[in-house]
Amino acid sequence: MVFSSLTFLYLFLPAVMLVYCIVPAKARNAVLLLASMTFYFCGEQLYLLLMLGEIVLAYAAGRLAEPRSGEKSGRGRKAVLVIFLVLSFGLLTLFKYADLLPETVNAIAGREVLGLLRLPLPIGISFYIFQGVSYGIDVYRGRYPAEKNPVRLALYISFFPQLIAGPIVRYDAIRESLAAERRISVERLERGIVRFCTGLGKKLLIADRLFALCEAAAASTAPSAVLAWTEGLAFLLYVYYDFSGYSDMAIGLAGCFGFDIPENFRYPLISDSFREFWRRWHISLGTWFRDYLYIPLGGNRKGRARHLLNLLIVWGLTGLWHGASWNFVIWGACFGVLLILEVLLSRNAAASGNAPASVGKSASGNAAASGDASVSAGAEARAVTRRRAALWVVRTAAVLAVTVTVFVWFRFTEFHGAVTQLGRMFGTVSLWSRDTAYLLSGSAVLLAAALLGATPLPKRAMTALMKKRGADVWLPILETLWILGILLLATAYLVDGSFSPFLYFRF
Amino acid sequence: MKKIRLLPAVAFFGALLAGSITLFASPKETRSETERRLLAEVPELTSENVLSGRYFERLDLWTADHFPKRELFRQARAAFQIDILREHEYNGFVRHEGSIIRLQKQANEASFAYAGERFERVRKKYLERSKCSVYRALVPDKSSFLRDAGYPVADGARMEELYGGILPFATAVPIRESLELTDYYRSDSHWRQERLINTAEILLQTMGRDTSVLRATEFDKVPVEHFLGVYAGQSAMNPEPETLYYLTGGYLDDCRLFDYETMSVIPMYDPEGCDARDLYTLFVGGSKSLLRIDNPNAPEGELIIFRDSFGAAIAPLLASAYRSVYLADIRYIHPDALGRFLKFADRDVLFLYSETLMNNSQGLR
Repeated sequence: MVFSSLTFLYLFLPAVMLVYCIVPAKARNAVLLLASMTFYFCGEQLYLLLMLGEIVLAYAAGRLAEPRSGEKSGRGRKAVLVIFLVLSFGLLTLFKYADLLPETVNAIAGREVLGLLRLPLPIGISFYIFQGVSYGIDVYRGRYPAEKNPVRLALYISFFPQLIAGPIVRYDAIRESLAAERRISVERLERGIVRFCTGLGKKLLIADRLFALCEAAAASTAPSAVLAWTEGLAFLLYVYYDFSGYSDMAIGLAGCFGFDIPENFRYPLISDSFREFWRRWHISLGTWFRDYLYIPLGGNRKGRARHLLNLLIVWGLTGLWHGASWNFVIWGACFGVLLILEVLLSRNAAASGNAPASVGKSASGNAAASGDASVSAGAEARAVTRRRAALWVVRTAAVLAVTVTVFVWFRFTEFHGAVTQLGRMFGTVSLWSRDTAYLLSGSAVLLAAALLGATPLPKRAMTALMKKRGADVWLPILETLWILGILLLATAYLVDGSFSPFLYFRF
Repeated sequence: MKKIRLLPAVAFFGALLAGSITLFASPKETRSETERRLLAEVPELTSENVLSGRYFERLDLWTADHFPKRELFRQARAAFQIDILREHEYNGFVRHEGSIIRLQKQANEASFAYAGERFERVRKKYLERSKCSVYRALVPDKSSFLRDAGYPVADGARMEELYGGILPFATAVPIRESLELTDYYRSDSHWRQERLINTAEILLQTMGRDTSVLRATEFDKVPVEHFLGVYAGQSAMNPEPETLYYLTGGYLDDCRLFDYETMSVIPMYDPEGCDARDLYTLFVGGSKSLLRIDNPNAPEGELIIFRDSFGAAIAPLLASAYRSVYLADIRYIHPDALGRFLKFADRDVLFLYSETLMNNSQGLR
């Protein structure tokens, strides 16, 4: 089942919400667990057992790997953790990557040398395995005690709002909420519903239209370089809206049920460096790899060569996490190389005393700093501000352009497809074509709205509105119109649309 | 806390509940007349269906197909996409100068080739050793008139080339230049009979027939109001109904239409008896496998038209110059069976097909 389906919106969600509100507070975890299992079962019947297996493994590992007072040697606990990690990643490898090596060998050999398992990919396996693993490691490290209540742990791993496409939530983020008797809060409901509907709109009204644009551009019989770049930009925006839309829905729904799920996206497309981009894009995955791989590998503490190697390993695996295709590895490795270049350039600049002022800062921070300068200083300060703003625009545009080219590897699962598309972007076809004008003129509003929506400007405008007098009266009315408008349009798209799965289901 | 803070939650869950209640409570249709397709049936709740996941997939389809006010939602989506997002297309349709047009973006060469195989079978069986004069004419799709307006549509010249390639034994009749977009219905794929006099004249002239009767006839235009064609429902663009006209008067009043399926004479136009969902079928019996129009006032000569639905509107005009005009639709009758009813000797034979059918020719037998 997906959020963007009529079955979820008009059957599952009202039923779950109704039961959730009616039952006593102490029964709410059980209601949500049952709802989560039902939600997963609707999409994956047999593989429900796989998820239950991961829950049992994580529960047992937590209980057995937990530090005990007076314990002299941690060998037993360590062995438990290792077994848990081997089993968990073994499941992930079996169901997600088992055919990657045989396919590669067969492709090189040009014939079928090795047989393929062809196991269907269980929905959301990468997300719930990563959540289970983070729980096991954290308990082993003593960050928090093992959960003794199996319902709470099962709900943590299978919680339907974020079960199949994240964000990857750490147990300590929702531990207290799981243990508490959560009350229904009107304020939470209001915020949650607005967030959910915003995500629904991002997915159905923007992401799916952007994907249609990508498909139309790809199907064009008159390709051009401009069309290839438009397709690339539309695809990057599509991934952003699809995934961040799902995250919004997950955060909103979880909020309605009394859980605070951490943010997964913070306007990544306004980043002026790749380091910043990954601090803003799929945050829960980036921090997972940072905490459970990059830092244990030594991070940047073991010399420059090791630091750079660690970056390559982490980004190669980040790519591989997205799917059993070498194109994903190339995609991740591209970002690894770009981040390494940034590290090297920033060190060289620092050594020569020309460190760019904005490295590591957020764009909003720059803007704020620039704004302060312009107010407090004279003409010279204003000129500096303008130069910095111009520099920020150039850097952001450059990062965006490079990111568009890197995401070509994400779009195509075949090596040849990505190379062909990159060739089109860089001149193997003419600059312009008849189809280019047609598709650009028909998607200008969509692209402009998508680009604007990917910046903090709408939220800033909303924040400013909320400070106006009488906002406590008209804001709920405005929110209601927003919610109903999106719900009606989303329903219109679902009534007359084909199945609309989320991109990140396949990860 | 002010009660108004409750408004968003009440509105949201109220809308969801209202939607789910009316979904179950509203009467169910089995067919969508606007989209011309059967709607999904309620899935059967069996252990096999549930465990295979089919139940949930079908439940999604059923919910979408039977959602209350579905048609309004479809129109809202089309309006949002076209009027707000300013996209050109909706479900493959565009609106241009008031006309709804399904874009035919590419020539389907495989489909032309398949049609060619079927036509070659006809040639070998009936035409190879006959003294028939064979002609071909390709009816342009509405979308071919949009090429100059910048739409990415198939090249009409390429279509003609492909058509000529599969009918090399036939003489081409250039009817494309005689037509323009306004010669077609705004909400339908078909051409308007009352605008086809010039086209019929070109066909007759090329086939060496006398066009004087056609030119001299003062036809009566009989209106049929509130015509909404196939594109109206499929596109969800909610066009205004238009008026369909059929031509009577002059030689047409003496013409008779014979239906080989029922072996009886049927009305030339049947606005009451035709399929009400598709008024265009009022022309010469609608979807029929083999028909014959007899014009007792015409000079000697017979014409056999291999045709699709476009042939229905123009055949009465061609009958002005032939004693008999046969209409064979090999989607509904196997070509091998035609010999039982038709003699292919010293007759004119016209392959009159639309680009639309040639691009989707799988239905030809």
